[in-house]
Amino acid sequence: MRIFSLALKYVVRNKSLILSLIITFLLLMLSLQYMLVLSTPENNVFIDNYIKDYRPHFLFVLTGIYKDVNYSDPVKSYEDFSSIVFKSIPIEGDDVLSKNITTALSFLELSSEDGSYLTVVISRYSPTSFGFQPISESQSQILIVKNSLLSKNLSTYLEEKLGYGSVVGLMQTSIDDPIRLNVKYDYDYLWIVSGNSSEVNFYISLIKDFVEESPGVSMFNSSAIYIAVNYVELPFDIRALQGFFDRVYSDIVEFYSSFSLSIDATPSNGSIVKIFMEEPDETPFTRRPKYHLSITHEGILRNIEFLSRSGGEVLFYLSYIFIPILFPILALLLGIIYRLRSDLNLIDKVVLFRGLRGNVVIPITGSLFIISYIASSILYISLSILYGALVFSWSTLLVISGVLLITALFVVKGRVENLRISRRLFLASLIIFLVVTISGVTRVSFMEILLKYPFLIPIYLFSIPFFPITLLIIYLYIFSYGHLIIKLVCSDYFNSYPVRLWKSNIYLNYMKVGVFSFVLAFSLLGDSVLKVYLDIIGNSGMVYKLGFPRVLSLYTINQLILFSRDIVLLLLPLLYLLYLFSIYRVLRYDEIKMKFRGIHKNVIKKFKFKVFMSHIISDFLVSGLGALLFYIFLEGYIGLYYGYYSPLEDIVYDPPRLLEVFLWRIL
Amino acid sequence: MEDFIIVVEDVYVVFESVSGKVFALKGVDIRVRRGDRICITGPSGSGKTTFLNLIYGEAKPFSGEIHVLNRDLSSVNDDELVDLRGKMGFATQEGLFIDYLTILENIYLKHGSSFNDPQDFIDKVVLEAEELGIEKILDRFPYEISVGEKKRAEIMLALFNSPTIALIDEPTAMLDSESVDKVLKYISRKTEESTLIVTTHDPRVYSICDTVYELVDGILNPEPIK
Repeated sequence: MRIFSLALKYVVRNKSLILSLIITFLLLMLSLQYMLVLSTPENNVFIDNYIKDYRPHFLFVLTGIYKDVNYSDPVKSYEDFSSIVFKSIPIEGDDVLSKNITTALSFLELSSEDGSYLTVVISRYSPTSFGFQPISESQSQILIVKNSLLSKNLSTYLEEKLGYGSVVGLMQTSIDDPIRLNVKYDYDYLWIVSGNSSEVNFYISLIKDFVEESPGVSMFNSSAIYIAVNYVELPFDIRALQGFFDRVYSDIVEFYSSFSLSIDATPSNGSIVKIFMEEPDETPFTRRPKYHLSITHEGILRNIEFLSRSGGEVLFYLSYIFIPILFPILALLLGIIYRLRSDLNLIDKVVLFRGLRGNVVIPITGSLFIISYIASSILYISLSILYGALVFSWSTLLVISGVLLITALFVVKGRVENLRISRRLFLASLIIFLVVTISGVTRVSFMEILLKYPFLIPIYLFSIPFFPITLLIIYLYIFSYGHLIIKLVCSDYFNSYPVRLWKSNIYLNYMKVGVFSFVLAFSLLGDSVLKVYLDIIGNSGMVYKLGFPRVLSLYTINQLILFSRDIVLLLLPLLYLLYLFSIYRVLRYDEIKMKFRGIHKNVIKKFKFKVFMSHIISDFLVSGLGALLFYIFLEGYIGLYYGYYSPLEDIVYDPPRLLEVFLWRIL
Repeated sequence: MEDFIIVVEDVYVVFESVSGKVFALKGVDIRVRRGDRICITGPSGSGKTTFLNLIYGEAKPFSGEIHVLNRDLSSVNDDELVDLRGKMGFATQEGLFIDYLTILENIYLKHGSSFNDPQDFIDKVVLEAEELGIEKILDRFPYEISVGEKKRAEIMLALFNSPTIALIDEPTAMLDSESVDKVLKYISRKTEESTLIVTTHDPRVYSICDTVYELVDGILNPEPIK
């Protein structure tokens, strides 16, 4: 009891420990979010239960070749097909679904001599950047994606017949939203959005007239029925359901088979359309083959294989090799170079002799291994947090031994006074590590626990909006931790002036650099990666399940995130000024000392300038490097694994372009 | 007055405290010629350090005049004061080092600019450090060395370039007897051409001074005890 009392007092008095616990909790929450999103059904029965428990608001339009379209009566085909689609969705008695289900049914496919290809789609839903939005019966629209001469001609023709402004030109990007749909329109579309099916005949006849009046333009005798997913209605990441889709794939195949034979064929019960076709060429929707689920070693191997196939080797090496191995080496070299440079600049080679007295070379080889090892562990932990679970394997052993190694380091270097903070960080990391490991080993889904003990749900929900903050904390945490270790191991090299200054308030400086790194990285992020947040937040499904108002739509959250990024960008100069002021205050104190010494004002000025600049340069060096890694990690790594389009993907083979984007974002 | 390098005339120094005004120095009068070696002794709290701070321009007089190197301290601006201090060496009790510079770098910051070749500077520093027995602490940071080592480093920093006026506050405090000998020898050698004012309550220090004054309760006895 006494021990408990003492422990309690210690915890209460020790704000940093409480902070660490909060961080741990937030990290845990984050990991759980990832666990939910990324857990494969094979490894976690939760998804299946979740689907049963919470009927997803899928909106599908089927894809496939439907050869028996009755062109003489397209409206009938439209309605018949709609009825089939309804039947194919394994949701019963859900009013919301029955209202939302519709089809984007292509009745006509046109081609011209110049190779242009045009698909005419009729739908009650209008394609938008955020999915398909229903329109009322009075809001008929003709939308056309203008890419080819054929579509332009048809657009002009329709406008002549229907009046100027009747055809709305859609930018390719507005309809081609790979982030939302993971699909890409390779063809031109004429999208007739009509709430009144009786209008369809009229539009069809117009198009037929156009075909007859246009030499070289012909109409296909087949029709494709396309998949569309109303993403807004999707409560969680469809990629998380990949395994589920795989399981029903046979049903789908059966469905397609029967469907292609006869329009009256009834699809097998329980089938859900597989929305990602294995062969993109078979459908106008060419998906980007970028979805991945991996929490197992096998999964990682699959990813490696995938990355190799998809030309992502560079990212792979960046993630698995550069960060854990090359980064510490780079940091070491930079540290040594920087130290020598700063010493040379500041006091004209004086300290160089100290550095050359033998304490530079000896620890390098050992340190490199240790740093790489620890960095690998940190990376693995962070990736594990990302993936939500660890698998008890050689990797886990690596992490465990890494943690032990860190512990040993702390014990050895325990006399360093500034390590008190670090011990707390270490404690927090150990807790995270244990939680994640136990979670991974036992394969216990925390969401199951949440559902079993609903009183925990508000806490979970409370953590969701804090995702960006959590991310910041993670980054600060990893950064501080990693940097501290580097500093510890390389304390002899990292005696450059800024680091010495940091010793005066090490935690503050970690925060400072961490914040700058994050701010830089955050401001670098493109919309695509920010939408990762959107999915993570939105795909939990909990928002809807608990009856939160629909104002908390994914769109709203997305906008809020983008807005917050813009705010950060706006605040960046202010933060920078604060940062400069903090340096100024330190230097001001030193200036008083130097004036007391009677040091000449020119020497003081020179000294202040050099320390100031070395401070800024080193902070920005570290922050910039951190930001770049962070950026690569988010834009590239997460982007790649989530299947989102990432600018980095295009520029990874083009370093100048990377630099350009980097600078452009900063400026 | 030009014969004197330091002139202190009827100076009062007042500090504000919670209990009211406290007179640290009361009507101090002293005239110091170039090359004088003066020791100010007295019990703790008698105003010895304040006296040195007064001459160094760090403490402001409530009344009276102070002339140092023919400059009236009441009329010098900050820059001029710094220039004036450049000709003086003040070894404080606490050692005002810049924490993130090593001892060597701290010394270099003050005196490095007068050396064309850094190696010459290093050689000289090492030589003098050996004389004081602190050669091993040159590459350490101020917070990494003992109080005694810091005291010796502070004296070395103050006297490194044999200043025109050397002010040393309690040079033997916190030192063992062996170190005291080294320090006193060092001070003697480095201030052969300087004007030395040293405060102490250690009689061993008297040996390096020509005149010893007693300061008691802020009042400087005009009659030297040595």
